[in-house]
Amino acid sequence: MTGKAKLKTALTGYAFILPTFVFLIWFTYYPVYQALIGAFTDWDGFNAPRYIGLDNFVRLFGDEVLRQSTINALIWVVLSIVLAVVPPFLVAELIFQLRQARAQYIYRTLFVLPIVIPGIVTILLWRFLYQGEGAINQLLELIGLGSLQQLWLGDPNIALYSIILMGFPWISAFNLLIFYSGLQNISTEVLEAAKLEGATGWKRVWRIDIPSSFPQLRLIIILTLIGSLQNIVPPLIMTNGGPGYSTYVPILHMYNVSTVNGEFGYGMSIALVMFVVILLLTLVNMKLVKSES
Amino acid sequence: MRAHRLPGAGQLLLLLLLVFNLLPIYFILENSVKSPLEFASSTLSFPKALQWSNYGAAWDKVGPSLYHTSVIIAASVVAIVAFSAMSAYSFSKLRFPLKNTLFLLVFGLLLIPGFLTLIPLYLQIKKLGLSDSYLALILPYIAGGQAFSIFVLKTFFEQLPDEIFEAARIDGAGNIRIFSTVVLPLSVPICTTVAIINITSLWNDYLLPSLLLDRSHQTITMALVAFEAAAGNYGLSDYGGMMAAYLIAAVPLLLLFSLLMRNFVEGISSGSIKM
Amino acid sequence: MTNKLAKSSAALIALGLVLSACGGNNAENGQSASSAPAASGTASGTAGAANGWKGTITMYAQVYTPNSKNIAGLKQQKALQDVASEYEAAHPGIKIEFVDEEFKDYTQTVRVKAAAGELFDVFWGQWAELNNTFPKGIAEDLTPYFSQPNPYIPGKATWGEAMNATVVSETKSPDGKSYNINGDYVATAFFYNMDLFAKAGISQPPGSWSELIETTKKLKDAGITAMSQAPDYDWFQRHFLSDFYAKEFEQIAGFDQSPGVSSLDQSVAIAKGMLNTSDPRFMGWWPMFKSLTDNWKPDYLSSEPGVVGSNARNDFLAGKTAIFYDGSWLPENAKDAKVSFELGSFNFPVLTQADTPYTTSTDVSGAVGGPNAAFQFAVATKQANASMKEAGKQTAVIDWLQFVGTPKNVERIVNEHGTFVPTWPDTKPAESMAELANQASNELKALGVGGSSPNLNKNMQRIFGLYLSGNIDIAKATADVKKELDGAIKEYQSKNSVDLGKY
Repeated sequence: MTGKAKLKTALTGYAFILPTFVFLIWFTYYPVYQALIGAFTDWDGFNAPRYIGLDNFVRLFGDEVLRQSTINALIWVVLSIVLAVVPPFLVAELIFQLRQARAQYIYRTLFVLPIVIPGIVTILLWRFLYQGEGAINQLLELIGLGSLQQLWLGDPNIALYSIILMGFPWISAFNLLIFYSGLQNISTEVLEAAKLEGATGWKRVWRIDIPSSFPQLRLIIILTLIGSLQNIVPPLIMTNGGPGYSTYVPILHMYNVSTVNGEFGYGMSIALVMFVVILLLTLVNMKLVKSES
Repeated sequence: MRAHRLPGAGQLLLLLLLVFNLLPIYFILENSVKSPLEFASSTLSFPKALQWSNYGAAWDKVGPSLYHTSVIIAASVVAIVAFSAMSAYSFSKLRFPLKNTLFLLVFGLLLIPGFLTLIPLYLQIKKLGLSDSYLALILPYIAGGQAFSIFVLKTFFEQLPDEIFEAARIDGAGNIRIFSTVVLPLSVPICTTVAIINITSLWNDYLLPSLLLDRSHQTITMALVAFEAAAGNYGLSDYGGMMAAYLIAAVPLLLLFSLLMRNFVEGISSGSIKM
Repeated sequence: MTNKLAKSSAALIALGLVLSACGGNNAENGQSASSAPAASGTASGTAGAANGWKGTITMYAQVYTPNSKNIAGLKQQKALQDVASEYEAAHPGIKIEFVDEEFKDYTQTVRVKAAAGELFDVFWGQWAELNNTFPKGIAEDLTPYFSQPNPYIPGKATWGEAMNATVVSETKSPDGKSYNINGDYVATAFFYNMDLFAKAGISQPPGSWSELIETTKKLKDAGITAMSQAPDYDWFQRHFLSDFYAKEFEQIAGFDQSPGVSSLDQSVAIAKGMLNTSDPRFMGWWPMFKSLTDNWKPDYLSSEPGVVGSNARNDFLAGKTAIFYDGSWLPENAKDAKVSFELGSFNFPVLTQADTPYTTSTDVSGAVGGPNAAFQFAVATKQANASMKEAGKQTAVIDWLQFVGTPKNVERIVNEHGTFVPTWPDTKPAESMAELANQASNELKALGVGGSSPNLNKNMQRIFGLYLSGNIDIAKATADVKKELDGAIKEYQSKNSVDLGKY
């Protein structure tokens, strides 16, 4: 390309991203900039912020609640990723293995249907299921496992897991469709070749299907990572971090110090650190789950 | 076509998982016709007396807000898809300095916790004098939808074979024409997918509308709030009415999905939702 | 990305409002005659209407909002609208507009609206929030007006004289300012299901601590859930500490040289080791209370009251639990829910030496509620509400507040709603409140901790819950409590720039 053509392409390139950036600068970057500046102040959300240097960050490292929250969050992230990947992949595989296209279509549609229901309903439902006389304990009694009955949200040793594990059977409609489409896109030649080598059934799933789904896997892992660290709703509604601090997570801590204590500056310093951590984990994930394609 | 065979055990498992997966829908349905007292006494059992009036009461409260929400979301999503498609095209097919840096700037937004920016964003919208109008939400929504949409569309455009672009260029088409006559027609399914993902997330938004809109513009989530255990309400919560309202609120999404399901799945199946 | 937070909505309110309406404060109430503060006002009335400002005054009146369509669970009321109409008739050109909205997270709403300069002219604000939680400078300091005459209260030298002096004194900020007019009071009691009591063969509600334990045991043995709720630390500490420390009350209340227990008094008492773990009384009631909660259904013991509160209440109203400790709104709720059982109530019992050696046998049944119901009105500052900069508007708004804030209006507004008790001299409680209102007539000296930091009570609740549910022992609980208290007074000192050592 000539220099002039290059320049023209570049200008077109900028022109095409211009609308996006106009919106982003007004409604995203500027607020983000203000929020990040806030991390170095003792802003209460109303009066003029006072610059206090790194004080918030010093406090952050001595914050015991934050330490406990971080441990909880790590457990949360790891389990969330497993739940976001394994069950949807399993169902995608099961549907994919159905003989009739019609049956595949029906199952796919029915599994996606709950997407129209607000997330809050799932939380309400599980709150009832987890109650002392809730369906789970009743069911355990019924099948003779009464000794396994628990106060699912009231026992500090299991409350965190109860919250993470709600939503059984953990079939995210989006993830299911994404995996399903990944499976559909495996070329016939690859499958034929695998068959010749004797890779059928589970062997084929292991050798062909899973490696072929790596690009989908990476995206789902990253979105789940971000989503689970930002997901304040379940712990807030189900336990507000209790019993004790057993279900406290950093985003909830940030929420409470900001809105209850009015320490937006400190809240934003937590957010800033979370942002850096999410960024690092994202990079690690991109390195670890290498794309095969 | 490949012939697959799923063993009986697998079929059974699939069916079981489906039943559990549909449990929340059962929960809403059976509770939407219960009186508050019956809800409190048994949540999971089928109602003894059907209180259909819940639906009438729910409609009175959430009906008008469905219109407001539809206007806001329709305008936002059209703009989200249009602008993010342009940016994605630029990021995937054009060359210009700082391209990667700019893309990272967009991508990085996915990693920022939402309520961090709530107050600054609110002040910004106020400063522009937009409160109590649809634009108060539409403009920030357009900004908020860019990062994810650009990311998905960019992956999709990168997968389009270069030949079609070269062919168009040889025909003398400029970038604008290539974008509108070659790229867009090919991306109807993926754009539908992006649109639906944005719609479902905007549909659930509460905090921003509640701060910015008055009652004559209220969105569906704002209306739903009236049913939830709320300020000054120390009595029995009307969960029945709330469930009926959830169901009413789900109808437009249900219609949308039934119309666009094929495109949506096709878009996801294009294989560009990956990393 | 704000979408992420959208779903969170549901619980926020329940949390914020249920807690704030009844928690967080120590109360000295006062139907009892008030001694007027040194009246200084000699000037004529503030004469707001005369200054010529015309326009609309906005007001958020929480559960007293008249003709409400949008606030969940609110019946149709007209008292406040009548007051407004009278005012409008007398002041042509001024319109009073009530904000008929449901706020999910009221604290957040106030904060955000204030930041944008759009707070309501008159807004509902409880003293603890105005003093501790909301950003400083969003509410007008009303103290000067209290010492001037209120033109609408003939016969009183100052507005303050018409108010409950103890409440005013107790709800002052650390620097001695009053940010709201405070006209009503929440009473609390044990409510019980008479049918379930009969089923268990109990004919009388318990009248003493040992009878209370006995009753819950009998219910439990009869296969009935005696009680099931999250025991609110803030509530029960006030019952026990007000009793145990009754003799030191004057000393603690006097640290700040003004009557009533302020957050400064509490902080000093913590720093001195009085309201702290080094005093055996401070944790002395925990094991005793646990002997009661051991008879409860354990489900909610370790939970936060704000999270499971409505579930626990629903259980009680549905007839699943026999006893429920709650505020004076409960009878009205039961009526609305058309419950099928007969409802009774009994007060927190007077303790005896047989129950615990720490007791002073003081009647502390009224120690929990307090001046934190809904007749709690503050005025936005110019900074929090840009329209206040209009010439004469602030004077007009204060004038309207003075018009609302008369004993006659307090009484008719509070009593129409029927779940709270008006506190000002010359006001009488509604018929429906008669039984509980006598709590408000005890000479009551309530003590507790919680004013030192907005988070203190919530953090104490976490420890309390873990202890009562048997997850930690008393030694661990004591150590954790100590850490919380020390942290809270440290925060108090730095936030308010005071040195507690000098008291």
